[in-house]
Amino acid sequence: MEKPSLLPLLDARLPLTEAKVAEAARLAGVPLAQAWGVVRYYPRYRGLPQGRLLVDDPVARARGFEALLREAEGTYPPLGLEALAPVYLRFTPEERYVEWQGQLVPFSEFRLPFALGKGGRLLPPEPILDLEGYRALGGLEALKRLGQGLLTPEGVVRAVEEAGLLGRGGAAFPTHLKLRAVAQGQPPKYVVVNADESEPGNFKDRFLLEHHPFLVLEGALLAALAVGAERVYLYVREEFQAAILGLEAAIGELREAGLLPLPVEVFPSGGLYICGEETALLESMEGRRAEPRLKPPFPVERGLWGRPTLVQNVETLANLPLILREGPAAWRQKEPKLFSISGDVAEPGLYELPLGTLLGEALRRAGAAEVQAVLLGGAAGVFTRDLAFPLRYRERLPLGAGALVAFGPGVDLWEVLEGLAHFFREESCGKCFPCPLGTAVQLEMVRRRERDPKLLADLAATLKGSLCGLGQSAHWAYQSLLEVEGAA
Amino acid sequence: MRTTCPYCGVGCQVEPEVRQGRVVRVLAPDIPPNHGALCVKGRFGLDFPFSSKRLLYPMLRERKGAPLRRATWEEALDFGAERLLEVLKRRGPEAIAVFPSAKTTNEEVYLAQKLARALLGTNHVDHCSRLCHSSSTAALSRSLGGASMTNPLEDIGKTDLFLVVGSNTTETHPVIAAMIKKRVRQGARLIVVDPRYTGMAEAATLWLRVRPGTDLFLLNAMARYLLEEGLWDRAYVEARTEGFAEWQASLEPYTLEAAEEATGVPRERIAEAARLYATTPRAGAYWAMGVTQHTKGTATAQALVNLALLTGKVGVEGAGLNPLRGQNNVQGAGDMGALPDVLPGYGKVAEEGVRRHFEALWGVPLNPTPGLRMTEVFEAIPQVEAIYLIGEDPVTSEPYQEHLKAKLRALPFLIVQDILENETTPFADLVLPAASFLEKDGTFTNTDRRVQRVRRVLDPPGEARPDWWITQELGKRLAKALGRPWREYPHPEAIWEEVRQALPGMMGGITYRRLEAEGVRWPCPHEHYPGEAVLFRERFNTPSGKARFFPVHPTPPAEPPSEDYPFTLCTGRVLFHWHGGTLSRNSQLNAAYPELKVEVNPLDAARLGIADGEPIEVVSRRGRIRARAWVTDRTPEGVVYAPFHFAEAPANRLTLDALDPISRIPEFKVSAVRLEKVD
Amino acid sequence: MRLRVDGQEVETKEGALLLEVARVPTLCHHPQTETRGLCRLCLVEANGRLVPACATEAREGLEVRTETEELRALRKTLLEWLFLTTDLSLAPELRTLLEEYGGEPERWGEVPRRKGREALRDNPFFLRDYARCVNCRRCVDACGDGIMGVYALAMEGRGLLAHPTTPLDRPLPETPCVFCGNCVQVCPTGALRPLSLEV
Repeated sequence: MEKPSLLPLLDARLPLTEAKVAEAARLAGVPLAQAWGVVRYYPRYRGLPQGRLLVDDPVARARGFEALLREAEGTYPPLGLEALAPVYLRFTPEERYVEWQGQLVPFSEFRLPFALGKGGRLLPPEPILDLEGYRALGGLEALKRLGQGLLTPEGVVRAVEEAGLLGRGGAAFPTHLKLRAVAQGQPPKYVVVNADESEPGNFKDRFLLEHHPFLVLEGALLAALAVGAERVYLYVREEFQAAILGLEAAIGELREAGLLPLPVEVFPSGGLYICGEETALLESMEGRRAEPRLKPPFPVERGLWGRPTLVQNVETLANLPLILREGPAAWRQKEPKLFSISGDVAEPGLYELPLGTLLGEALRRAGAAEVQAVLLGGAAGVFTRDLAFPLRYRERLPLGAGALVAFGPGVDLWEVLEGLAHFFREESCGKCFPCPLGTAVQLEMVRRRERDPKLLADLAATLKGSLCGLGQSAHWAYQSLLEVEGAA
Repeated sequence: MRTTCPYCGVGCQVEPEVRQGRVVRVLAPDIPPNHGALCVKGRFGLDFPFSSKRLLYPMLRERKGAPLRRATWEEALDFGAERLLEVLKRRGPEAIAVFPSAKTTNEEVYLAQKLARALLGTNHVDHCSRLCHSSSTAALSRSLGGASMTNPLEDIGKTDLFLVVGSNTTETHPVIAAMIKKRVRQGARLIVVDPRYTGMAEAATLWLRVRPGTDLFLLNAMARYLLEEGLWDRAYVEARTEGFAEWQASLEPYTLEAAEEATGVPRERIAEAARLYATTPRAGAYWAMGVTQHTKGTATAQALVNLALLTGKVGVEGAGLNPLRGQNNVQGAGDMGALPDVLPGYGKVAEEGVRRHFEALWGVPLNPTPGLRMTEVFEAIPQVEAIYLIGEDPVTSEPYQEHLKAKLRALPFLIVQDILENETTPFADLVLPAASFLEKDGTFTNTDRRVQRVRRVLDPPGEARPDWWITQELGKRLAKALGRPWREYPHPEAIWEEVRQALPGMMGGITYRRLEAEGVRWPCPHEHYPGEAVLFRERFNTPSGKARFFPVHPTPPAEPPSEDYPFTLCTGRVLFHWHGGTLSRNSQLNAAYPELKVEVNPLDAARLGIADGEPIEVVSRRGRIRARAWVTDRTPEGVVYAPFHFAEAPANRLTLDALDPISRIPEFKVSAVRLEKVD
Repeated sequence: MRLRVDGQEVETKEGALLLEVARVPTLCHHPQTETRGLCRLCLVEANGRLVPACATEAREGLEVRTETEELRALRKTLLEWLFLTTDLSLAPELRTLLEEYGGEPERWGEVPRRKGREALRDNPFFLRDYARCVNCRRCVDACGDGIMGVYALAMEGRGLLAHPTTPLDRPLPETPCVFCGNCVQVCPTGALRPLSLEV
């Protein structure tokens, strides 16, 4: 039972008044209480900070955070700008800007510099400006073959299975299992592209969306046809305004070219870290507070509006055209993975490297000199000094979505950790008990540089019991920092 | 300790927490019928027993004109018995009426009607159901042979379509409304027929805003449409009903076009409602005062019965015909024989076999002539010379208040037995202070026929005594003087044991011991029988075993709007109050809704220059009351809605005493009024 | 169906929740509301995975552990944090539970608190005292989907400081509230309590 979604109705009425909230609730067919809960949840309805804002990401934390903060009126959560950090934003009631090279660039025009992308298969060798540009790279071939019946939906699933593609959002779940589960479900079914990249240190999805929209769209369409979905939603981080505009333009071009086999639309995200959690994401699409659902049932059984739904990360889907073009075996031989490398390296950027590349090698490629430690994976990640660590899934350390933030010798890692702890406390949704309590306690512990192993063990045991991944991983960095310290 | 809520007929189980003689909190256990849920009245309105208006000692008036004076119980009971005996001797049993209360327990009702019939020999026995569901019971009894909800409340969870007619369920039966709305959230459909935009209308899938009093036309048109479309249950009608052909022929005038004209509801919506109701196997009809309180109340209830029979909805799980009963024990009051024409268990007093059964049990001959109904008794004053009135405030609840007051002034002897002082107490010659529900033991029977325990949580204040004790003591004195047998009961359970003996098929299996765990539904003939959930699965309780169609036709209201009185006044209730207000207005509830608000449609308000919240006067041919205007489109144009809970501004000062020809219910839902601004 | 709970074989019916076979504390779960899996006090280890007993059905052959060292640490810590942040003086069973688990809230030092919020007195029947609120959401559910379908309560904010509120933060009499008090009945900590208890 699909109803008009509340969030777009509220967005169309910004700045909100009580009457406008009531009107949006009525149009969405939801109780005012639900609309009010939503308004009091998402930052852009509650009211965004104004003025000059420092992006509080791990790189900024490593570059003399206090001094940087003195130049700002407030902070803003990480925004996929780590390769450019430290970065300031400027928010006015009318527009939001990135301060970049002495200019104020509105969000709607700001993209990550193309030059940050370094790779061959997933990243475009040159800017792609339109559908023709994408076609020139051999794009849309797989989609065409599927349309002509030269490739079957099951063929797509099988290719993904043979390739052994694991989800690139961080959980590394086998993609073909999800595809197959949704394919077997009863229609109506949906595909939701999770483009709500909010993990500190990661900017791979942002880069793909901004510079390679057709690849992402083709991947999503292939998946949708493979599972028999009737609609594709791109749930894009709301701050990525340029990406949203680019995607909408690309969708328009595909539609005009008669290449859209099913409706595709962009859904601007709720603008919170938790929105990337797949069930919280679905809640926000359904017009509620982005709070994770209990699982099971999983989205493949009961997702959007209770229907079977395939939720996939941007990079995961971007691999689908590649797998079908190169063939699973060839693709698998040198499995491409995007690594967002930032911090104390000479050339921060987005690197496409084969899975299994050693951490030290990845850093060398980005021009790292001396590295004290690396934050691997992001906020839900770990500090490590093991440069021989192979960057692969299901290893000793979590790869996450592939963020590597390098810290040179002088960096106060506790300051970085405090940034992460602050991030978790701010982003905890508050639905279950361990996470909001534990992240608040954790921040105080980190602030006082608490090293008591018993307290940390109890903190860890409790956060582990959280409802979703956010709380479950909130203590990883803290624990790993003590391990790194101990090893030093 | 667990007991049963004294407000509406849902019969919610409550656990009042008492500290230092006060109810400080009310919880609800997770058992039927309410499974832990309550409404504001049960939750926060159980403090009326602590009101300063409690009657604490007996009072008597030596002669008309003298003041009421305090008396001892001995004195008061002797006085009451003497005066009744005097009337009996002089004028015979026809001059005495006894009104047991639907707010008291089954045991107390049983005893009061027994006193009337076995000692005084009168059948002038009736209760407040005359003012609420007498139309429903009349229609149900003659068609099906039973007068109650045919389906249990648990069936709400199994119903796929609700047809709710003239019931402001969210305010009058809030816990049932919550159950229905929850089922609707799970996907069931809800069709609401109501002139007002009630909470149910808000939750409805399909709301039919009929003009007041036109439901009957609508229901007949639905039936005609279904017959025309072949969407009726031929097999059911053939196997289980009679009178079909005659009824079918009577539907000729009720085309959709005519119905649209009469009701104001677009024909497509009438057709859609009919189609949905007919084609959903588990479709239950629910109704209340919007159907019954008209001069055509019985006819309208009958139209619903006809429609349900046509579509085969009676005797089916999740469906049925379900009048939502108002008083906590109104079902029980009827079951226990507080009616002028029937004895306990609904056996007719006119039938010799029925009488013989009770004559054997009570050891006295019984009067075979059905008595007068409550509304008729008041009319029969001063031929009727004495009334024993229990737990009732007719000055507030009966229509045409001035007329009733005049009648009461002309009544030679009135006994008022109540827990609280009310608008009728000043007319009493004898005032007997009763114990509240918190202060006695017994049973109530709720709207879905569930007999449930009432438990003594507190001692009665002052000299107040349980109603059963008072009736028993009065009876003892009458019996002695008359030389008739009169049993004495040590405890209400002993009275219940006699009820079981009197009604073995209905109540035989229900014992106090069984009721410890939870309520049990009648009919329940054996102690190991679970109690009947759905009535009439196999046969109806009529001589032929079949249900009967009765043709019914709309009649105009007794007092349509006119040039001088251009508005239709509709009376009813609000969430925070209860009937005459005796209980709720003496509880915390009054703080939430302290004064009368009359709903006026914004268009009417604009025409008259009435602002929201402004004081106005509502005037009928019989009187005027002052109220605050609530300007709201809940109420349609041309209609004003006034709750009748407010003794200082009694809506029944305005209403008229036109009665339904069969049920003798007054037309509370339609009288003509005008609105006046107050300077 | 059979499963093992702390090494003991247990027989139960199809569809039974683990809560029915495992003796574990609960806080957010209530038979009349649909709140489940929030407080995490009832977490158990089922075949090695942490699952809420209130929201997990028993399965044939399942190996359930209810009191591992980690689970004890989790419950003890959670209770400590609740007492640290929230005024639980009207929740004696939670105090008993804290003592059973040997909790010492002070060991965590200073943290932001819910305590100190002012009680809201906006209707004739009950108080809303969110200094005592643990965010179990039973009240919100009882008011909305769970029982009444009235929707006079919503959640305000995120994280630790989230708490129930009314639509548009209005006083309750200006909301769809029908004062059924079902929210008061299901409140486990006295955050919602009848005014009649206040004397």
